[in-house]
Parts: sequence; C-alpha cells; structure tokens
Amino acid sequence: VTTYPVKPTRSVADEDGSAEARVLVGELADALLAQHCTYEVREAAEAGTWPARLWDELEAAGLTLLDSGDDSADVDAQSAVTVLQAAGRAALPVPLAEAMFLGPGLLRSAGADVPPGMLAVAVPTADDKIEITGDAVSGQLARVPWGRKATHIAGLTVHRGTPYLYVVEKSAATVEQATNLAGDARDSVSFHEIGLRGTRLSPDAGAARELSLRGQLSRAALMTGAMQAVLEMTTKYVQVRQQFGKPVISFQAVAHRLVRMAEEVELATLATSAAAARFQEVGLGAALEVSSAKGSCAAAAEEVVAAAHQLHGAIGMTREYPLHHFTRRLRAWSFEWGTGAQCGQEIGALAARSGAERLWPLLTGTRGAMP
Amino acid sequence: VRFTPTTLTEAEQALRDEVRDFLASELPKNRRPGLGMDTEASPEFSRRLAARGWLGMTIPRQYGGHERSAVERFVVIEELLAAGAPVAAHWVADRQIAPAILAFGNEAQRRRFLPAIARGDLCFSLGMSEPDAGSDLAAVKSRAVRTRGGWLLSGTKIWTSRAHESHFMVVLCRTGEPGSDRHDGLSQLIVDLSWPGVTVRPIPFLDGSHHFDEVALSEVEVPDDMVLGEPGAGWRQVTSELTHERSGPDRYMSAWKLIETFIAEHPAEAEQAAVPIGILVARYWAIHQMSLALARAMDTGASTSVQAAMVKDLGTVFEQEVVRVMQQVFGRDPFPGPGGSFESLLAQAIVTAPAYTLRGGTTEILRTITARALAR
Repeated sequence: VTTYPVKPTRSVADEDGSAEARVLVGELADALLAQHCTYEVREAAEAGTWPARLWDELEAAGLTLLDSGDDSADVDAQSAVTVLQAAGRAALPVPLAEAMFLGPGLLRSAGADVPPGMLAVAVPTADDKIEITGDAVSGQLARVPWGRKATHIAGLTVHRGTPYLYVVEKSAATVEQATNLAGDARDSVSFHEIGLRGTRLSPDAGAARELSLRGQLSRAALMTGAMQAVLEMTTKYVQVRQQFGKPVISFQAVAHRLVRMAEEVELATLATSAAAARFQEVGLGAALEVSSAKGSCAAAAEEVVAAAHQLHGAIGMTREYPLHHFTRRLRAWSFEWGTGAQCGQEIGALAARSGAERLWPLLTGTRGAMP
Repeated sequence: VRFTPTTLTEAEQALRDEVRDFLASELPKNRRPGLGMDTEASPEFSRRLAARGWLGMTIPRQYGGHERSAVERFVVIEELLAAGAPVAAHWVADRQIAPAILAFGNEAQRRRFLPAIARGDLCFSLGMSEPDAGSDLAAVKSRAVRTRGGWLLSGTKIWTSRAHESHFMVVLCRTGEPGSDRHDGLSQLIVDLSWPGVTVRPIPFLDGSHHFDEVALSEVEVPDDMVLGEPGAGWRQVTSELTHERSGPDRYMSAWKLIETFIAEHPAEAEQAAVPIGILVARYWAIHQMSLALARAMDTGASTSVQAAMVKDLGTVFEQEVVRVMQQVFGRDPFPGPGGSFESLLAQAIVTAPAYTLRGGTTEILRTITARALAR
C-alpha cells in the first residue's frame, strides 16, 4: 500500500463545514485515482477482474469509510460529494458511493452499526422484491453494485406499514453476475428466508426518503465528475485536432457546441454542490434541491455525451480512446436512483402539492414553503 | 470558468422576506403581472421601492446609496421579478448605469446622478445599437466631434428601450479614429433626451406595443462634463457593464409567472403535467443558484464577465424553453387578453420570447465570448 501526502483522517474529513479540508480530501482522491484508476484497470474491471489494488488503496487512504464510524447525526455529505466527484473524474469502476456514503448513511439512520467488510446497497428497480415472513426475510434485488464482492447487503423494506432495515450476509445469498451499460458490475442478488437476526426495525419513516436522496446525490456527484473529465478531454481535443489546415475549434459551429457542453457541466456541478450543502444543512428538507441536482445532471449528460462524441468524431467511438469509459458511465448513472423524468415527477408533484403561492418560497428555500 | 456555490445568510434570507411582505401589501391583487423585466414603468412604484432603500443598493452612502452587497441586490431584484412587479422605470439605471457612473464617472457626475437614481427619480436608456451596429457594437457610426468646451454628437440609435420615458441616455459613439485596434476611439456620452437635436420616434414591437425607440441625434451639443469616463475608453467601460447586464435574474425570470399562474388556475392539469413542470422547476433552481453564485463572486471583486455570458445563455435559452413547454402543456392556442390570466400571459410570452436571446447580447455572441475563454 502506497502512502499519500495527505491522509483524510476522521478529524480532517469531519471538520464541520471546513471547505479547505474538503479540498484536501478531493485532491487526495484525485491523486490516488490518477495513479490507480487507469484505463487498464477500468478495462480489467469490465472484463470481470475485481480491481483489488485500487480498492485497497482507497481503503488505506480512508476514502471508503469517510462517512461512518460514530453515531453523530452530522453527516458530511459535502465531503462525500467531493470524493465522488473525483471518482467520476476517474470513471471509477468500484462501488465507492455505496461503501462510503449510501451504506453507512442507511445504517446510521436506522441506528445500526456498520458491519466490517464491503457493504452493498442495491440500486432500486421496479423488479425488486423483499418479503418478510415471520422472522425471516426473502428477496430479490436486480442491481446490486458489485454484489459478488460484497460482504453484506443492506436495504429498506416496508412490512405491514412498518419500515424495516435489513442487513443480509452475502454468503447466504445467491448472486447472478450482470453488468450495466458501462460494464460495471450490477449483480442480481436473491436470498430466501434468511433469519431476521441482524434486521432492525426502523421507527423513522424518513429512512427511505433519506436513502433515496443520498442515492440521487451520489449519482449527481459521480456524473458531474465524469462530465468535467469529458469536457476537459473534448476541450483539449478540439484544439489539437486539425482539419482544413486549422484546429477545429476555430470553426464557430464546433466552438459553440463546446460552450454548450461547458455550460451544462458548470450548471450541473454547481447544482450538485449546492444540493449537497443544503442536504447537509436540512437533511430531508433538501428534497427539491437534491432531485433538481440529479435531474440537472441527467439533462446535462444528454448534451455532454452527445456533444463530446460529435466533437471527437470517429476516434471517440473506438475502444482504445478512453472517452467511452466516461460516456457509458454517464448513461448508466443517469438512470440510477432516478432518471431526469423521475426526478421531474417528484419535483412536479411537490410543486403541485405546494401550490402556486408557496412554489417560489419552496424554490428559494425560504419562509412560506411547505413544511 | 468554475462557479463557487453559495447560500444566503440569515440576514439575506430575512431581506427576502422583507421584500416579499412589501410586495404583498404594495401590489394590487388583480393587476396583470409583468413577465420578468417586461413590465410597465411605474415611476411611483420605483420611488416607493427607493424609499425602502432598494434602489442604488450597492452605491456608497455618500452618493445616496445604501452600501449593500451584490447578493443583497440579487435577493431584492429576484423577488421583484418573481412577483412581476412594475420595475421598468428604474431597471436600466439601477442595474448598470449607476455602477458605471460609480466606476467611471467623475465626482460631479456621481453627485449629480447617483442620488437621483437611488431615489428612483431618473430613468436611463442605453444608446448602444445602431442600424449597422448590432452584435458588432464596435461598428457604431455615431460620432462626436470636438468643439470648444464640448462635443457635437450626431448619429442614430435604435432598439433603445424606453427612450420615450427616459430622462437620459448613455451613448456609445466614436470620438477618435480606431487606429490599430478598432475598439479604440470610442467614448460614452451622457445625453439629456430633452436637449435640442434629439428626436425620439417609436419603433413598434411585433405585438403592437411600444417599448423601444429610434433616437436620432443631430448635432447635439454635449458639454465636456457629460463625458462618462475617459474619452477613448468607451469600449472597456461598456464591456465592464456587461457583467451587471448579463448575469442577473432578469435573464431567467421572464417566464416564471407562467408556471405560477398555470398551477394556480389549472391545478389538475398541473398535477398531470408533473414531469415537464418538475423538470422546469429543477432548472429554475439550478440557474438561480448559478446567478446567485455570480453575485457572490462580484462581491469578492472577481472578474466574472465570461461566467456572466454563460449564465445569460443558459438563462435566456431556458426562458424560451419554459414558454415552449408550457405551450405544450396547455395544448391549445392561447388568446391574448388584458387580464393577468395564464392564457393571456402565455400569449404574450409566445410572441415576445424570441427577444430573450437577442437583447443584451445574442446567444451567438455570448457563445463566442465563452469559447474564447475555454480555448485559453
């Protein structure tokens, strides 16, 4: 295990509101990933080889457990988002968001401890089924990030009107390997009548909402990082690539398309940072902001992916050129935890419920918004 | 060209509430709201706003201002636009003339104009475009020639918003030869629109309304003390105004009332259209955050002209998207009318929305500015 100049110990990562500490954690993550999340590592991961070295380095640097440990209610969502943006910039193929942000957040919101080993949280789909019978739990989860490598799988379900947190040991489950658009492991995991030991009743109905917001925020963070990388690659390429005797950026049609990309990337990046800050401040009260951020990322990715490929031309359509590591993940992450339309539905329903008078206060997070 | 996110402090939030309460008691209930800055001029309303200290907010106290931050001004104007308040009488003066006079004007000009702007007593127009100088603003042909103690100004300005209601117009004109840089030799002159040689003629808008004019300048005598800043430095001065002109909520709030009135008048349809309306609301929130971030950056003195171009492009294209989506959601051809219903506002917006991406710098110009910065 290599050592790095800065180690994000708990004290660094948790200095509440410390923007400087977050910058350091982000720089550490960027440096680590530049070295260990290379094109070759991503290709090998897609071919089915677990990138053990990469994961070990992330663990050793303290990045897989940024947000767990004590039972303080204070959740440093902004640090998590900073690290996940770095992960996006590296097209990270491993389930860092689940291990660092979603799993610990979920367990803590139910008052449970984070078990040792790798904790997986399923990306929700309409095909998921969880059933509680007596004191046993059965279920089928369609998309578990690296379910094959996980030690435990955690999730939420509702049984007879009561929300439950379940934590299943992977060794007791059946895993069917599958991959998403990006070639990232999204395994199907099923388990049958596993004892409810380790399953806790969650008295707080907000846990499901909180998990969903964390899911959206995690994908928004990954997507903004990936979009930043795509913008950087494309900006360089159009200045290097020559046609008709000059760099293609000197053609206005090309330059303006690049600007559209940049605008969308900056809008999505800012929205995600602002949503993370708001989530950290008001938790579940940040539903509009977090869904808006994820929705903005989905909308941005449409333009960014299309424009990046258009401006790269045929080279961007080759396996050898790394653009697809980012654009395919952007497509996959767009779907996870809510598409643009699904986020729109949530916000639109909120707006309709809120009513005309309270919509502007809701949007500006001020007095007069619905509680 | 990154943007640093920011949140409002408690005091800034309290200001928002204060403005909201003021507007709730000030604005008549059954009025037709403005579509963003497309609204009527009400000098009376502007003066009442001024009495609350909400004009000339960022101007120093010694010039009648209130020494508030750009963020505080952002909060106030966003509330005004969200309410569709009649802001037109003071809009240009408050948004960019006051900061320009503060930055480039001499002491006498500051004392003469800034307190009057902060009181809501002065309406200004921008004398920029000409028949042969639109996007290529440096091509202006209006020319001022030196006389004893002043300048003799001749030329024609067009698309001059509210010249018929304004007291003054700041005219960009040529006072010297371009030399090696065509941006050299340009100056800004402050012209009193009641002076001899000034003729204001309406240019009717496509819907028959009247808000912009042609202003003919025929050997208008402009004394030396009405030159804004340095003769020959006009281009630098004009471009520095553009951050104020381009980054604010007036670049994304033009169609906000469509969303509000639709939900109020058609709640069942609004619920059915949750997806498209929700997507619009999400983008309102995101662009609002971006404009707020720029206001905060302006308070730190950062150079933000490229970011302002990006916000204006995103904001104005989005405003048009709002009109397009709400038209589809409504699903029938809206009839214009005098009231403040969703239908009559939509009718107005459909016809006038193409202006959003023209006024204050076209989409194409904005993207060219941003592209230059990206290629650096």
